[in-house]
Amino acid sequence: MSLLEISDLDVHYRRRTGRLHALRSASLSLSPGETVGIIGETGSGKSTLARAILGLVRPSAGKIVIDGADVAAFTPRQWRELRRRGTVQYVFQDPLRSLDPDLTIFDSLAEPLRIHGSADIPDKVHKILARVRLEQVLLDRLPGELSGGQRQRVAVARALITEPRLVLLDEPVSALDSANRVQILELLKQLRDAGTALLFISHDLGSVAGVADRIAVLYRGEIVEDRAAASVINEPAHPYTKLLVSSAPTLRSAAAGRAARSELRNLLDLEGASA
Amino acid sequence: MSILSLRDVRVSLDREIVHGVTFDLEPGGVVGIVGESGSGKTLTCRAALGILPEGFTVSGGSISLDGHDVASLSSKQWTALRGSTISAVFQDPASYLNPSLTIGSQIAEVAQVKLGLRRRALKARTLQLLDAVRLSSAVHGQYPHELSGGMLQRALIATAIAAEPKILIADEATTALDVTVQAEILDLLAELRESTGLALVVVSHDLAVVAQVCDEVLVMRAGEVVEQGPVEKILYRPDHEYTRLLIEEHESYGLERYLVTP
Amino acid sequence: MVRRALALPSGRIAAGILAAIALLAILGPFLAPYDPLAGGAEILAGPSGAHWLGTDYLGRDVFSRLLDGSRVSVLGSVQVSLVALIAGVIPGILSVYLGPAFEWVTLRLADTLIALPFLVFAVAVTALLGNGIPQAMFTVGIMISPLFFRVSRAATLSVARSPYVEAALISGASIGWVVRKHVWVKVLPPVAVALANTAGVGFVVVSSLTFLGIGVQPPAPTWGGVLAADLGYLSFRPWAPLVPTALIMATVWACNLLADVIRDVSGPTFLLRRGRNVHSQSA
Repeated sequence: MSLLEISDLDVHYRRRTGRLHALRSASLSLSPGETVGIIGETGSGKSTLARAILGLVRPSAGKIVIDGADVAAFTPRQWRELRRRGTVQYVFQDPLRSLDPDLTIFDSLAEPLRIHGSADIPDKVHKILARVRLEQVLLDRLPGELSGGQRQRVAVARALITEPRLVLLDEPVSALDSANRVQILELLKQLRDAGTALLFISHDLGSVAGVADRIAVLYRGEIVEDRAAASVINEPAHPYTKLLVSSAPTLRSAAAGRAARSELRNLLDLEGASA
Repeated sequence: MSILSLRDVRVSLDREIVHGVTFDLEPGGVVGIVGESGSGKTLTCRAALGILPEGFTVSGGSISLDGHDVASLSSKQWTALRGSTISAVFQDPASYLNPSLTIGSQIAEVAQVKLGLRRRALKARTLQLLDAVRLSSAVHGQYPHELSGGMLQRALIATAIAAEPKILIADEATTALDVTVQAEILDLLAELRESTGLALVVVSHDLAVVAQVCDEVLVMRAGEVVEQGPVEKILYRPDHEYTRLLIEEHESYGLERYLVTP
Repeated sequence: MVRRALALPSGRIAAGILAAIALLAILGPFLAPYDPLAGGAEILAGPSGAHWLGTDYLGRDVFSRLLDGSRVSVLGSVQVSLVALIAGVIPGILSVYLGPAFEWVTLRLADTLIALPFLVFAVAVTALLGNGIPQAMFTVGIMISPLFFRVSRAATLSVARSPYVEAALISGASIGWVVRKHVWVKVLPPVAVALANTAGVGFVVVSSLTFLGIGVQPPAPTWGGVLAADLGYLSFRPWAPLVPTALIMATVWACNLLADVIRDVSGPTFLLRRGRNVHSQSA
C-alpha cells in the first residue's frame, strides 16, 4: 500500500491580478522506502506541491491521502493531531533560516518532541545527533555558531527525530559544498534503505539523479513526466525534460547541445504562448 | 599577447589569504576557476578588477591588464579601464541594478559614460545590446522587479558589455539560477565569445559548469591553486585528490551515473 | 540583555540618570523644605539661602515645587508607557494570528489613532472624562499605542513567516506554542526600544499637558506647571525656566539614550557570543 497518494490535485493562489493556477491535476504516489525526485524550475509548482502535502496551503480540488487518510479536507485540529504523530517531516532549503537563531541546537532538536510531549528527550536528542555524525558539544551552541554543513545536518536531524515515514526535502544539498553534500546524500541513502520514503524537491536534475528511484518533472503546474530515474534521463519524452537533461552541467557532455537547447527553448516558448 | 596576465598574485588581509595565482588569458580565451566559498577565487577576480574589499591588498606578484601593470595605475586610470577593458557580473544580479530605473536607462548609462554616445545612437546601441543578450526590446522600458532572475542576469551582462570590454569576469554568475536558465546564460557567454572575441574568466563552485565553457581550469582550495591545466587534463587525468573528489561526486551522484559516455 | 546594556558606558549613564529621577520621584515630596502649596510674602524672589531656586509669583518655594512635582511627572510618564505597551503589543501580535477580520479592524484602528492630532485629542478626551492625571495619561497612552502595535506586528510578521516557525507548525505546534517559544523573544527587543522612546515622549507630553493646564489642576505642582509659571514672569526671573527645562530634557535624553543602548545590544545573540570562537568548520 502506498504511503502517499495524490490524485488530481489543484491549487490556486489568489493574487491581485487574479487567480494563479499553481498546480493542475497533479497525481503522484509514493511507497514506503521509495525515493522520488520532483524536478521543476522557479514557479513550476514544486514548492506548492510540498506545502499542500504538509497542509500549509489548501488545495482547491483533488485528494491527498497520507497513510490511509484523506488530508485535503482536514480541519486545523485534525492537522495538528496528524502532525504530532510525526509521520511527515520537512527539510527546508535554507538551513540557517530554518533554525531559530535564539534557540540552542538542543532546543531546536528537542522542539518536535516537546510539542509531541515525548519522554526521554535528552536521550533521543543525543542519539539523533550521533546518527547525523555531529559532536555532542554542539548541543549548547546557537545556529549562527555552526558551519553551513553542520546546520544542514541539524535540520535533517530535527526532521528525523520524530521517526517520520515520509520526509520532504527542498533542495537539501544545493547550499552545501562537495564534502558536505556527499555526507548528506549518504545519510539520506541510509534512511531510504531503512524504509523511509523520501520526496526530493529540486530544480536540478543532477542533484537528484544520484538518489532518486523515480523522477517526476513539474512544468507550469503540471506533472509532465513520472518514470524511473534512468528512463527519464536517458529517454526524456517532454520537450522540457529534454531541455532539463541537456542543460544539466555534466563533466563529460561538453557544449555539444547548444543548438539543440536553443531549439527546445523556442518550442517551449511557442507552447507557452499558445497555452 | 595575453590580455590579462596574473603572475603569482597574492592577496592579504592581516595574513596572506590567496597564495599565488598565475594564469594568462588570451583574447577570446576562457579561463575557469573552480573552488568553494572561501577558496580565494572571488578575491583573485576582485584583485584583477582592482576592487578588493576594504583592507585587502595585493601583497605579491603582478597583474598585467591589456599591457598595463595595474600596480602603477592611478585610480582615475583604473576607472577608465573598468567597463571598457575589463568588466564583471556577479551572483546576485538584482543587487547590481537600480530598482527605480528602467533596464534600458541603466544599460544606456554605461554606453553614454564610456562611449560618449548621444540620443539616437545611444538608443540604437542599447537595443543592439539587448538583442545581443537575447532580451526583447520590450525590456528596454521595464523595471528590474518585472524581470525573472535569468532576465536580470542577461540585463546585467548587457550593462557589463555595453562599453565593449575585452574581458568579462563571470563570478558565480549562474549559481542562483534554475538549471535551464543557467545553461541559457552559459550558452550566451559562449556566443558572445564567438561573435565578439570577448575573453572570459568563469568562476564557479561547480566543476561541471566550468568544464562546459573553459579551455584552461584552475582548481582552488583554501587560497591555494591545487591543480591547473587544460580542461581535458583536469577532467580525465586529475592529479590532485581534491580534483578527484569533485569528479567523484559528480560521477556517483550526478547525471553521469545514468548517461552513457560517448 | 540588562547585563549587556549596563556593560556599555552609555547604558550606565542612562541608567544612572533614570535611577536618580526615580529616586527623586520617590523621595522628592519628603525632601521638600517648604510646603509646595504655601505662598509667602516674598514673590518672584531670586535664589537665596532660604529659597535655593527663589520663589514664584505667589511666593511659593520653586525648589520644593520641583521636588514635589517630580512624582506626578514620573508616574504620568510610566502610566503612558504602560497603557501604550499593553494596548499596542497584544493586538499587534494577535493581528497576525486571529484572522483577516481582526487584522483589518486593528489596522484601521491604528491608522485612525495615528491620524488624530495628539494633544488636541487629549484635550478633547479630558473634557469628556473629566480633568485628571489618570484620564489624561490613559488617553495619551492609547494615542501612542499604534507605535507598539506596529513594532510588535512587524516583528511578529517577520517571525511568523520564517521557516523555523513553519518547521514547528509541521511538527504540530499550536499558535500559542509558536508565540511562546519563537515570537515573544523576537518581539521583545524592538518593543523595549519603543518603550524607552515612549517614556521620553510620555514625559514631554505630561509636561506639555500640565504646561497647558490639562491633567493636573493648579495649585498642585508639576515640572511642566512650574515651567509655565516661570515663563509668565520671564522679565523678573529670566533664568528660571532653565531649571525645569533641564530636568525634563535630562530625563528625555536618558530615555532616548537607553533606547539606543537596547537597540545596540539586542542584535542576534550569536554575534554577542562570538568571543567564544566556536566557528569550527570541521566535520
